[in-house]
Amino acid sequence: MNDKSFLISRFIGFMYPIILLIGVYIIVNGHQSPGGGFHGGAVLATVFICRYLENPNQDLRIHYLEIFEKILFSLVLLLPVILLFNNISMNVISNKAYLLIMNILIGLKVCTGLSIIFYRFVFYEGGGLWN
Amino acid sequence: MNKLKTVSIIILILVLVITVFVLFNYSESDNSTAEYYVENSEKDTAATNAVTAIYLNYRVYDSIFETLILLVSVSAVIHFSWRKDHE
Repeated sequence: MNDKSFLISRFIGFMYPIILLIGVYIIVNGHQSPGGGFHGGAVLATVFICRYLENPNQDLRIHYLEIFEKILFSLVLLLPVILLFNNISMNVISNKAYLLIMNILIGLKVCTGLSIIFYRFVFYEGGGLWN
Repeated sequence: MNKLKTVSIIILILVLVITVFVLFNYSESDNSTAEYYVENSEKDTAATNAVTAIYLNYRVYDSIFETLILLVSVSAVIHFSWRKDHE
């Protein structure tokens, strides 16, 4: 994709902050309105796809994204084990904080996972185009 | 060959009849769990959205293993990549 379309790159530059805003809104308001971590993470992964369409270079370190995703998964595993499975009595504020933090963690994890899959398919497949 | 086809059609009709029988006899569904979630989810988990209350509090195992599925699929994509080097 060396000859990228002028129209697509301009329009993506315009849409970039709006997509970011929608993703963050869906994640943060997941416990009050329809949405949540999985949907918001998928929307945030669109930002990385737009970044590829605008600027298809390989300076994104996929290796660090993998490490980041593993750390996020261990946090997603750890938080309910500490808070929910011990039958700690939680009030309204701590419950809301738990839901918010879990939504943010799941959203970031889904975002990094989908981005890794997309960049792997783009850069590491396809018969030596990028060698 | 023709006999096999006839037997398979008979088996298919039998399975359909059994399915319809089971559906019409045991479809008096028990809604007590769903009614419990609708009535008590906001009080239990402080989440206005009942879906979030289910997938982050009542059924949190489901969310954990759903994120694990994504991690495993990412590992599979990395493992089966055409180019074997990292970075």
